[in-house]
Formats: sequence, C-alpha cells, structure tokens
Amino acid sequence: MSEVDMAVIKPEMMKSFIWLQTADGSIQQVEQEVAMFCPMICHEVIQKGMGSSKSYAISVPQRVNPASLSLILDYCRFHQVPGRSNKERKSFDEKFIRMDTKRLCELTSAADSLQLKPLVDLTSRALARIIEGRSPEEIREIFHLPDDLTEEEKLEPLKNTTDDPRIRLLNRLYAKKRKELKEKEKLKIVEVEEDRVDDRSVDDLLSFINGGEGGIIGCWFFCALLLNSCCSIFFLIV
Amino acid sequence: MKMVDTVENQKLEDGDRFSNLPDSIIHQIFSSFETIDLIRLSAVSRNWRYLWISMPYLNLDINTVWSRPLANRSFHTLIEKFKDFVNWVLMSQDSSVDIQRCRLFCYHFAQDNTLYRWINVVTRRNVQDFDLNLVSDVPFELPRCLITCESLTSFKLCFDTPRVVKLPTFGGFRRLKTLDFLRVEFPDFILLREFVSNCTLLDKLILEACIFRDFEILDICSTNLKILTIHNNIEGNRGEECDGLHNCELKVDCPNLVAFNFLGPSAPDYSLQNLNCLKEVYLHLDSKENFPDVDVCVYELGKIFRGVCNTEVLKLSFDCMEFVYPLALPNGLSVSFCNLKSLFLFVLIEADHIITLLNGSPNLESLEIFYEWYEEEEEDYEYDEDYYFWQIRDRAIPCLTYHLKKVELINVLGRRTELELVRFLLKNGHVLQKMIISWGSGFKNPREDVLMSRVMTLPTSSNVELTFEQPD
Repeated sequence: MSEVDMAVIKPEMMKSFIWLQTADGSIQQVEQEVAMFCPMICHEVIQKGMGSSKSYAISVPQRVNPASLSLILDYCRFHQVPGRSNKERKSFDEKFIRMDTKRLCELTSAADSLQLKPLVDLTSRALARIIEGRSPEEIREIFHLPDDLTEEEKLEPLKNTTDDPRIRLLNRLYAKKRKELKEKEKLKIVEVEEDRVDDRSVDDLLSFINGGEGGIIGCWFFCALLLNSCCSIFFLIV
Repeated sequence: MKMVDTVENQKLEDGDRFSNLPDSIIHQIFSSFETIDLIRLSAVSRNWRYLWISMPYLNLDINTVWSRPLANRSFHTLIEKFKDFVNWVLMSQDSSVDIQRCRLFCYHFAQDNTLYRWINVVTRRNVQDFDLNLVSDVPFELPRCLITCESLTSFKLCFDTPRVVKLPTFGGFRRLKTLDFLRVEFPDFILLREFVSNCTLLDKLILEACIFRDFEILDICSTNLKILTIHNNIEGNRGEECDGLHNCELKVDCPNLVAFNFLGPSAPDYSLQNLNCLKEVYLHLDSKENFPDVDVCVYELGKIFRGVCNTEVLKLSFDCMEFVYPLALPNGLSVSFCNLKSLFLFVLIEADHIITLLNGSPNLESLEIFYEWYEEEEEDYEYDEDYYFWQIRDRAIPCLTYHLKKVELINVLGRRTELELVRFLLKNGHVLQKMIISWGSGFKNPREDVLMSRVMTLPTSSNVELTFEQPD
C-alpha cells in the first residue's frame, strides 16, 4: 500500500479499482464492478490475479483503442447496475449506438476482443441496419471501401445465378434421368417406389461434369448399371 | 507496442474499419441477410466479392429472390428458376464451411425430390439451425438424413396451410434441442408421443396452429423438456381459426418443465402431472362454443390450475367470460398458488376474480394488470360509472398483508372500477412499496388529472411510491 502512484483512498468510498493498460501505453483505473462486466477482464482478474495495481495492469487487447474502451466502459457502467428495467436498457442502447460508422466498426471489434457479447450483438445489428437496402455505391462511400472490381466482375455473380453452365448441364442430366425412369417404368424393371438420396460429394459431381475419367457419358453409363443392380432411383446431388 | 502491418495501415488511413473486423463478426452482421442480397453485395469491393461463399448462414426465400417474381414469368418457370438458384448457391458455396443456420422457403410438390436433395446437402454441411417453410400440396415426410443429423439442434417446420407430416417410426431427433411445428397435421397420436419422447435432448417444443386429427389425447411425455408451448390462437392464412385441442385431452408428463404456455380453445380435460419444476405459466383460454357451459368451463379451468399450481409466475388471459365469472364467486378458486410470486392478468371491466386470485396466492409479491377495453367503450364512458360500479369489501388478504410489494396497472382509462381497485390495494396492502399506473394510449378522453388527484387523496397503509406513466 506504499506505492506512490496509487490513488489516495478515501475511507468513505472504499471502492476497488482495476488497472487497465491500452496498446498505446497509457494506464487507467476503472471501478471494479464496471470492468468486471467484460468477460475477458473478469478472466484476467480471477484466473490470473492481474489488475490489482499499476504494475500489474491488465493489457487490454490491441483492437481496443482508447476511444472504444471509453465507450465500452460507459456501456458497462450503465448495464452492470442490476435494478434497471428492460425499457430503460433498450432506451440506453438506442441512444448509445448513435455514432459514425467508423467508430461503430472499431467499437464492434473492441467489444468482440473483450468478449462482451451483448455489445457485439447490439453493434452488429446496428451495422446490419446501416448496410441493408443500400446500393454497392452507397456502401463503398459509407465504409470507405475501394472500388476495385471491374464492371464484368461486378456483374458476374448475378449473371451466374441462373445462367451458370454447370446448372444447365445439371438440368439436362436430370431431364435425361427422368426420361430414362419413365422408360424403365414402362418396361416394369424398377420395383421400388421409395426415393433414395445420394451421398456423392460436390467434388465428385464437379469432377465428372468437368470431364473426369471416362467422360460424362461413360460415368453415366456406369452409374446406370450400378443403379439397375440396386433397383433404386439414383439422383444426383449438388 | 505491436507494429501494424502496412496493408492494415493503408486500410486504417483510408478509413476502412469494416474489413478488419473478424470473420465471425462479419458473419454475424450478415446473418439475417437474404443470400441473394449478399450475392448482390459482392459487387461492392474485392474484399466483399466472396463473402457469400463462406457465409455459414443461408437465407433462401422464393419470395425475395426477385423483386417482382411473377412479372414476365409463369408460376412454373418461377419454381424452376428458384431451383436453379438454390442449386447454384449450394454448388458454389464452400462445402467445407458448416452451416450454422439455414432458412428455406420454397414450394414442394408430389413426385419432386428437389427438396429432399437440398435437405441432404444441408445436413451434410452440419447444419445446426434449420428453418423450413413450405408451400406444399402433399404430405411431407421427414427424411432420415435430417432425423439422424448429428449437428441439428434446432428445427422449425411450417406450412402456409395445415399439412400432414409423416413422422418416422424409428425414433426421434438425436441432438435436437428446439422443435417448432407450425400448421402441421399429425394423423397419429401414439406416433407423435413416441417421436417426442425419443428426442431425448429436447428442451423446447412449440406446437402452433397444429391439427391433431382424431386425437383422443395429446400426450407429451419428455424427460428433458423445459419449455412447452401449445399455441392455437393463430388465424390461418385463409382466415380459418385453429380448432386446437377442443376435442382432445391434454396430458403433459415432463418432470423438468420450467415454462408452459397454452393459448387457444380450452381442452375438455387436462392431466398435468409431475410439473414440479414449473416456474412460468401463460394461459390464454377461449372456447369454440358461442355459449359455453359454465360448469364445463369451471371443470376445465380447475383441472388446468391444479396441474400448474406450483408455478412462480402466472400470466392469465381469457377470451371468454364463462371462465371469469365463476372465479368471482366465493369458492371460485379450487387451488392455492403457494409458490406464486408474480401474477399478470389481462382484465376487462369485471375484476372480482382479481380478488379471488389474490386470495389464492398467499405469497404473491408482484401484481400486474393490463386493462383490455373495446373502442365502443370510449363513447359509453359516461354511463360506465353507473352500470359497472362495484365496491370491494375491505378485508385482510394474506398476500396483501405480508408480501405484495409491487403493483402495476397498465392501459388505465380512469374508470371507477379501476379507481376502486387502486383504493382497495392501497388500503389493504400493508407492505406495498411501489404502484405504477400507466395510461392507455389512444384514449380520446383523458381523465388523467381527475384520476391522479383522486388517487393522491386515498388512504394508504404503507409507504408506497406512486408513479404515473404516459404511454410509450
């Protein structure tokens, strides 16, 4: 208790403090019940006995800059009080997340590294609300993202959703299978009505669509033979 | 101090804080986005281009993929195009990424195995939470791959109009914790009972607007079940009302049940056994009959109360006054809620049953009353005073004398009956600490000042803090 840099403790406010050190080297004291609201800090105190003095200050993760830490502590200070109603908490949260997007992202990252899940959920939802319904152009502006795709690259995925050559091939294969099935039924070869689903992986499908061993027709023929011997309907899996 | 590498430094200088967020956070942010929207967002920047490919959340809804689905397309083409879309997504996604949650809204027809193929893919990608919403014209059979899926912890199945679901005979879901059926028709009560019992890890079971065709008894028997919700107070998509259990007895044997919610038409009989851990109960009872037999209502309410009398929190609401009137009589309550700490009541004008319930809850600490009133009542307000005036005889009630600390009256109009209840509680509540009176919103004729001034003059038997709140 003789360390000079320890704060003078007034007898009437015998609060405990936790010492925290941010990545820029600065050290601060925080009321214990506020700091312990963060699981990561709680863990450091309880499991490792850290934070009780300036020289044993808990190193706050690098992703937590001083501004974010200050916001997080404000959040903890409010929510750690047990008597608050749900209405009060919601009202606080709504006002709390009103900040520019840059700061919101930093806060999300900081809350995540301190494992403060309720705050991560709150900020994630806020970011989702900012993003949804906006055009790529607007999003680039809001989040300062580079416009580094060619026009073709930008249009590619939507074009592919229903026009991908693999899908066209898949549909042709299904159509062919259905035709073969109808023919078999006419010849009364297939007995079983039950549908069985196939276990083949995507890789298998892709490899034979892309012309693996024996080529597409070869594979089909082999599979058809396998089918007949099992007497069950064989469907491709995507 | 750690040196930040140059790429990150560049991003920070540019103001891009988003790309540095950990993957798990980015996934969480986008978890509720429709997959098609994520695909559209791949045009934002190089960093976002392949976001959707490793997203562990899939939201595939035939209604939202196209902004005007049926413009320039026949219905049949729409179905086929959606199939292509889902096939393409499933094929293009990184198959080593486990799916945390998949929401799928699609059509299912006879002779079409597309849905079963998709379920197979999704289960092989270790889906944890599967929400399946079907428009179907045929019964649906739960596929084996789904039942035996080791990763599945939550499954919701709903239809737009009640459809038969074929449950397997070989057992239940192995790892499932939450099961939710909406508008499902169950043809066989034994199969349903066996199925639920065999879902050994089941924590939460929700049955909404389900049809229990020709069931004599709905038998829920589960060792681990903690939350059971039977909700039949839902209007169907075609305006039909759900029959619920009004022809079928309800039997619940779940020793670990903590919460029980029962909404809808009352069942003819209840057998609620071993509910020793019960903490929260919500009952909303209605009747299918226009003029139900009061004795029948008394019997049914008595049985259900007997089964849940251990609960700590009780929320009660009645859509049918034949349940309420008998409670107002001197011996209206046949059980005692010895553990009850909180009581929530939805109340119309008549409130004699409030006193009966208070009498039967000797350890009650908190009372919350929500006044429900109809639009027409506002006009009749002036006559209200004469027709519905009643006085509560002052008497000692155990919970009021020893335990009741908090009272909240919500949606208050300022009627005489409400004032009388406030008077009674203030006079006879000897340990009351807090009373909150919240005004109803949308009320044309506020009598707040009048009521407030009257309340402030009432005698109190405790050091109670009175608060008046405006509606939100």
